[in-house]
Amino acid sequence: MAGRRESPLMRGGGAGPPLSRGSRIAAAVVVGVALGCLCAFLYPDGLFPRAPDSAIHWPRRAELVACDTSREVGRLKSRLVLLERKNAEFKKQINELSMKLQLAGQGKNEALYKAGPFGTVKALRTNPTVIPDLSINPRLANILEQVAVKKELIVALANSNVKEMLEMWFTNIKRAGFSNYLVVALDDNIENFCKSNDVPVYRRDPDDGIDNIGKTGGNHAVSGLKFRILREFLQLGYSVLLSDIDIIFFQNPFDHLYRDSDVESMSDGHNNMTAYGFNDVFDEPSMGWARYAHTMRIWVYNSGFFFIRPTIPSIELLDRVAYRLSHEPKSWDQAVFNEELYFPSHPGYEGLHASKRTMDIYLFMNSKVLFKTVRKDAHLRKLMPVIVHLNYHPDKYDRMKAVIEFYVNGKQNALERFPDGSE
Amino acid sequence: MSGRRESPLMRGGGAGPPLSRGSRIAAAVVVGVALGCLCAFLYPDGLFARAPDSAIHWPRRAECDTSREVAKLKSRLVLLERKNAEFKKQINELSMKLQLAGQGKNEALYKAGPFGTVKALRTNPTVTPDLSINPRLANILEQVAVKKELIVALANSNVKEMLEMWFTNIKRAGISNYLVVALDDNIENFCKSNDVPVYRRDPDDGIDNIGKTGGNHAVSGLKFRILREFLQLGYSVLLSDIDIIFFQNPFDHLYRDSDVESMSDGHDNMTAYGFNDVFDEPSMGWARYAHTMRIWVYNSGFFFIRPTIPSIELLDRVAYRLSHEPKSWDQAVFNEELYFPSYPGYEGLHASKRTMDIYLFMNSKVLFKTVRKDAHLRKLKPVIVHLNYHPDKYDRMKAVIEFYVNGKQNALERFTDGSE
Repeated sequence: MAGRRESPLMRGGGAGPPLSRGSRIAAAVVVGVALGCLCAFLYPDGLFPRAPDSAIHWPRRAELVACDTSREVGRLKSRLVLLERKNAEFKKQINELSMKLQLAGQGKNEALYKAGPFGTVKALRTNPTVIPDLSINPRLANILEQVAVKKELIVALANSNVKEMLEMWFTNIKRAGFSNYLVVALDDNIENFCKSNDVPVYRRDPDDGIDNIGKTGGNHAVSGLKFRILREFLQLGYSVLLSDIDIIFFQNPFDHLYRDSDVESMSDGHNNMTAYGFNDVFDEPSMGWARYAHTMRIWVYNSGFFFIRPTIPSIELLDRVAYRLSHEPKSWDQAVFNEELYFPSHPGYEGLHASKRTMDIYLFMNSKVLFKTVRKDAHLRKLMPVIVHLNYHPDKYDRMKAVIEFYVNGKQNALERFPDGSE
Repeated sequence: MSGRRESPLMRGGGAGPPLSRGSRIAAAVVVGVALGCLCAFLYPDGLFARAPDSAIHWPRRAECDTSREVAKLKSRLVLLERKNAEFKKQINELSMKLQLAGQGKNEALYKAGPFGTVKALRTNPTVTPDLSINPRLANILEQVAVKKELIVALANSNVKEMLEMWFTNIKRAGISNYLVVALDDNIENFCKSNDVPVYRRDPDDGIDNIGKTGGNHAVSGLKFRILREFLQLGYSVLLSDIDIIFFQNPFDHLYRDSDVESMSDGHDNMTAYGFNDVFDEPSMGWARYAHTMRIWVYNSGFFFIRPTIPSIELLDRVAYRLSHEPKSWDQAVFNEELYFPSYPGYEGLHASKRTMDIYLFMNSKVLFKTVRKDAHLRKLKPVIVHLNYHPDKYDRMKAVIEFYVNGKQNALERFTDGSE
């Protein structure tokens, strides 16, 4: 203010004690710098948006290789030539195959084509399915049409001896959320039980032979029945996933099948070697130089859980097993089932020729794998199986409950109180 | 300045006409901002050197002209390889379709018959012969084979002595459809001079090296690569090792109903034809017994193989594995491919198999451990005897001929059951 006299105690207007000119200038500079810092802080990239030219915004080039290129180019070019030539050969082969397909006849003694070059030959494993014959059992055909999904379903046989486990069986199936399953009831009790629990059920027409065994038979006898009963299912053109009652389902098994063989079955093996087959070397020291004999060995398929496709070899298998069980009184169906699947022809015997696939032992888990191995391993415990089959233990019901506690309810110590084996 | 009177024309000190206080502050602010802009202009990266984290300072990679070409070539390669794989897949599918067409589409063209009348195909259809793959061999086979079947053996100079015994006995048994695949000149000439049908492959480094110098295991692995051509030409082959004596015509004793019909290394009915080898684990208690399927291996030194798709696939698989698994033994691989079903990560072969009669197609363990000691079995005349279980083959072969051909009943007595 012009002309204002300095006065420390002047009232009004003033902001404070008047400063010297130098300090006023200094104060103003400080204010200015402070304002500038404030701006720099708030707008670090400048007040006006600039065209982004910093390298952060440069488009990144793909990895550039070291410059030893001319030799590499030569190499790559020759590989290319080779591949292109191979490609041309393949194309030619494909053309030939396609033309032959159009001209193909049926069931000749000679296949209608030449074998392709090394590595391109592949034999048929997935045999053709039979034409359905609905006339053999129209009632069953009706039921299957409603129950099956994509012509596949789970089938179990049950009589009153296993009523308790049956309940656990279908309760878990319902919880797992799939609907294509069917109980073949072997007596009235079970038939009514299923109906009252809204479980798809089928009761065969009376048949003395089957019914006697069915009503009163122990587990081995009933087990043998399945091979006679299943035949009709296959003849009607349905693929069957045969299931025992002492099995718990956690996931939909149909999501885990390959469907590329006549029989796809779970194994009784307890590790990769025993389940999938191995060379069990036999030692006979007295033979000296040739003491070691090599043998092919595999643990049997479990005839309580297998997926069977409606093909000619499959039906032949069922027939053979059913025939032998009825003619060899002391035979066990699981043993006969496997022998027919495995033994080649030999003098006096014509072998079956069916394609086989062994199911993954950790997805389709038998109880020996579970109690001897899986429950003790930190990693394997986390795997969720598709099913668990309590085949290796007699106290099935108890263990089944515990298995459900473990896998469904997450109770980590549910399996601890059981020994590996039994007794 | 305190107390200075405002005066427009005051001389000395002042910078100009004295300004109002407000405008002086404003002027100071403008000066400050101008100074700041000057700083920002001169030191755009800040007054203090900061750790260079801007991308401008990132190390620049060497840039080459041809690298772009390499990248282009590589991507073309990837495309081609992918296409190749697709073609292979397509070829497989077509082949399978063709097989189905040969048998009747995805669905068999018939309903299943009643109980006991259903029988699956074991005897697979044979491939159409492709004479173009080896016209020279096709010519030889046309002359040598009988009903498109013949015996084939591989031999190099290591086994010349036994080879002589081999073909001498074949001639004596009256068999004419046999062929020696000579792996070196020596054997080729030896066969020619003895009027033995012989075939020498066109030179092939891979095979020839093993053939000339290889021991028995290496040469044994060769057969799976060599036999393929025979099958492609439409011939059934009875593959024979050199340490085998023929007493009768084997073609009179074959069933011809399977892809592979082979002699066994087993020594009795159970081991040879398969049995349920029950495994006992007492700690499992109630379920201590586990059942297992077990069978002694097929001898890859004597088998009859028909020219079918599964057979050729078998040979391909074995040849592939032998060349990629250095320590593998051909007999083990041969059997594994025949026996193991599909499992996660592996697609099993699907070939039909028949085990030959162990007393007609006799291995030396059966002979020396069992047959020679049994009054009845001694009287059986075998079709062949294979000295596979013993290292002193030549000696034992001579004795076996004495026993079966010349009827010398004690010819076999001096030998032990085993060896060493």
